[in-house]
Amino acid sequence: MTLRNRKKSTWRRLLWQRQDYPDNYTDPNFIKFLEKLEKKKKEPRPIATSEDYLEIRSHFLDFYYVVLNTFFIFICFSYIYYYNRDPLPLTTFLTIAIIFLIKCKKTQVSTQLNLKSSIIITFMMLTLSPVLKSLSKTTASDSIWTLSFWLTILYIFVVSSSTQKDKPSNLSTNVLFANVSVLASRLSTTTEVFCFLSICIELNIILPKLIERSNIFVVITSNFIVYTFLNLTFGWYHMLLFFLLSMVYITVLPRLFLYWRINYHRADVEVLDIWDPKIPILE
Amino acid sequence: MTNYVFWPKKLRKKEVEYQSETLYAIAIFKNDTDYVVLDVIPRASVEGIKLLEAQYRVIAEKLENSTQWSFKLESAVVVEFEAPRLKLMQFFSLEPISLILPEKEFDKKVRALKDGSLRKLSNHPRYQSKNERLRQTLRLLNLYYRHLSRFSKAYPNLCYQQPSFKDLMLSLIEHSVLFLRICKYFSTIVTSLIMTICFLAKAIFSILNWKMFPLVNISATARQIALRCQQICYFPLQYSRIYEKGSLKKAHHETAIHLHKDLPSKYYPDYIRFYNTLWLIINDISFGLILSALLNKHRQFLAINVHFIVNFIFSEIFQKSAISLANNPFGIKLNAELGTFLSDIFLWIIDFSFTAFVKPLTTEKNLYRFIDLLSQITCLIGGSFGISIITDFFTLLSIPIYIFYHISGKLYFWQINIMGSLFYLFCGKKKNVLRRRVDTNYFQLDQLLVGTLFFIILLFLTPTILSFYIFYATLQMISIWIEIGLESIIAMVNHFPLFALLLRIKDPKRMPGGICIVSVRNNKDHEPIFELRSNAIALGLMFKPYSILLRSLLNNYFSIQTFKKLLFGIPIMVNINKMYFILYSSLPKEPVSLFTLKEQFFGTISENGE
Repeated sequence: MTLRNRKKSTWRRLLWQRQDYPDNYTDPNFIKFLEKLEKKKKEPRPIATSEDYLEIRSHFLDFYYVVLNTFFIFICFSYIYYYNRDPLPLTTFLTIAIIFLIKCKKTQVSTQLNLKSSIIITFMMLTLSPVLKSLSKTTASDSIWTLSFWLTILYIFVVSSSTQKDKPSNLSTNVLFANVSVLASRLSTTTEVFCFLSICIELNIILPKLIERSNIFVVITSNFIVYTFLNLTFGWYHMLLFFLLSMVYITVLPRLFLYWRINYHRADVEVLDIWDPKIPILE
Repeated sequence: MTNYVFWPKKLRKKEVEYQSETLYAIAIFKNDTDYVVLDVIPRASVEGIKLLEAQYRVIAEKLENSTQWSFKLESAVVVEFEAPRLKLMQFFSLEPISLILPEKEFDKKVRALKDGSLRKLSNHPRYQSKNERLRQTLRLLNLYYRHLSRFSKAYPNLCYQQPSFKDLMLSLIEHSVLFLRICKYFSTIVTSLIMTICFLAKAIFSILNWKMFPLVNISATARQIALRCQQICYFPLQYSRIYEKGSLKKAHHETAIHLHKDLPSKYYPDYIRFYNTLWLIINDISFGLILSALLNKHRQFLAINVHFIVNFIFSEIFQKSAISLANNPFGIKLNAELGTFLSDIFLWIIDFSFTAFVKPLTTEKNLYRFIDLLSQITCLIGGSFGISIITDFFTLLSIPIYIFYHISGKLYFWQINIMGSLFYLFCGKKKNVLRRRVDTNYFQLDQLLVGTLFFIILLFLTPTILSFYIFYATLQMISIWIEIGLESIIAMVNHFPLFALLLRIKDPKRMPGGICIVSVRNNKDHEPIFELRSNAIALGLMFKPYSILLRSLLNNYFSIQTFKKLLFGIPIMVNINKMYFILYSSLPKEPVSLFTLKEQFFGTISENGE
């Protein structure tokens, strides 16, 4: 390879990196980039359209629905643990509802979830329920609550960041099961563990495949359930607080975000930010 | 073309003696060697002889009272050398003397040359070394004294060699008839005795190495016995090879007319090996005497302490650890059910092994008897047997650790493997066993659910199994290291190259490791005069089997690879036999058949008797 043929790598605006160019080299491309930036700065502000607003709000709402749905885990758990109610009727009701939905709708899930596989899953869950119950029995309750809290945060994060194609993803299923196992050790009988597990699976894994989260019927039901639960458990004061917060979140925040994005977001911060290569170079 | 003239150093003294006469230098040469000066002879003696044989030639002349030789050859370069004394088994060699049997050569490069296809390639002249001329000249040099005696027999007027006193005595004894008859009777008795011993030894060796259940792989004592049997079987063969007609004896025999084709230096390694083994066995017995005296003196102390230590280990370390591993060791919360289950298994195994064989073996009285027996055996047979019995005793006592390690290792291995393949399930991949790679696979919902459930359960059970595995793996590694330490001591006693080492210190010329040609001085014309010296064999080369063994031991039991094996749950086994293959390089693989033995040994003895 002769000296003439050797191609120089493109100049990058980074400190501390040895490049083929002298230190006081000025790249013509960079000057063009800065000129473009200046031109952009002098551009008139873009006007917010209603479509932009609606799109942003739908994203915010999606996250809200995810949070609502995650509440169901705790609702179910406290139903069994705190209120000491028998979970069997609830479980049977949910199962019948799901079977009904599967029969009506012809989606990919209905072909996958035929009778044989449901029986396998059910028996597997039955067998493994005692094991799940005893997995973290020796751990103290406080650490269980902490663990469950962080697992829930992780679950919300994973579910909201997974793309539309593979909802729910394997990682979210994993985290959900971890959460369920951790909480299941606090329950007293195997039946309760089995019911808890099946309810969680049905609500968080099977149902989202069958019906859309943004279906109006679903939205109304879940809102109703969650707020009732909050009222019953914590009192109307906390329920009202949560309601106000969610209102603010849904109505005010999108507008704020849009406003900030148009007026205060500086594109050149992205450029001026980059001085160092992100990967540390160890000599 | 330069002609190299090899000049023995002792002739310089003769030069000074015959300073006042004209001297001729007579050299011997073959058609593919250089000139080797046999003798310097005063001109007066040479005049009588008309013609010399083809291989002898007068190559240089020194006038009276001059100090310089004028060569009849063009561009002669003088290389001085100290003639190797055949009686002391000195010789020059281009390669280091090989103390290993050629079929056991563990240098892969050399071994490859013995294979068929590579042999054809290496036979091509292009790949031959270019030292052919030097090699032939060295052969000539090594047999210098023999050629000199032959020359003096052919031309007695030119030079006269006095037969030594020892040769005269030997020839006298050999011709005595009575002595011959006694020798013959004696030799038959000796031969039949040796044959029976060899037969017994071969039988014991084949029993110990029985393919169905080779004791040699399990017990160190069996290995030691097998080694001794092999050595005993090999002794007569070695002896006959060394003292065979036409080798060492021939070299001493002055009346040899036909020079044997083989150089005597071919049998020197056998000589060294034979006496090395003999010396090591005697050393072993004396070491055994020391050991037995020590054992006798400290019998009481040893019995009490060993009893105490074994009891301590079993009750404190094993039992208490098994119990505490089940109950949250170091405050780590383990799964209660699995933990109690595993610790119950291990407690049961400890109890069983303790009552079954450990306790009876290590009561003070039994230990006392055992040490007594041990000291008797070491006294009689040798120290290595004592150490191997101790090793076997230790292996027997550490059987529980072996069981624990394998149980917890298997569990851990399954755990890691299942979690690994379930993890592939989450990434949407599956292991393709046929193609030995990981492919993407589309799983159904039920498969995903069940897989995730199993994965979570296994994940929560990991700390429990891991803690058991770490503890028992550490115990097993400690026991392996102790065993290997003991085995290395046995290996040192059995295979140390003592004879070769002392030989090298006493007379480096008997262990050549190559030659070097250095320039010592310049003659009158400022031409350099060279000297041919033999390099003694490098010490590192003598201990090469040991360094290889050490490296392979370290690699197997004390390296990153070991750690990786432990991490993945692959069991670590001790396979001493395969490793010590290197040290057995001075013995043939199987003991020789009795037929060959009879022919060779019997033949030698009967010939020596005649």
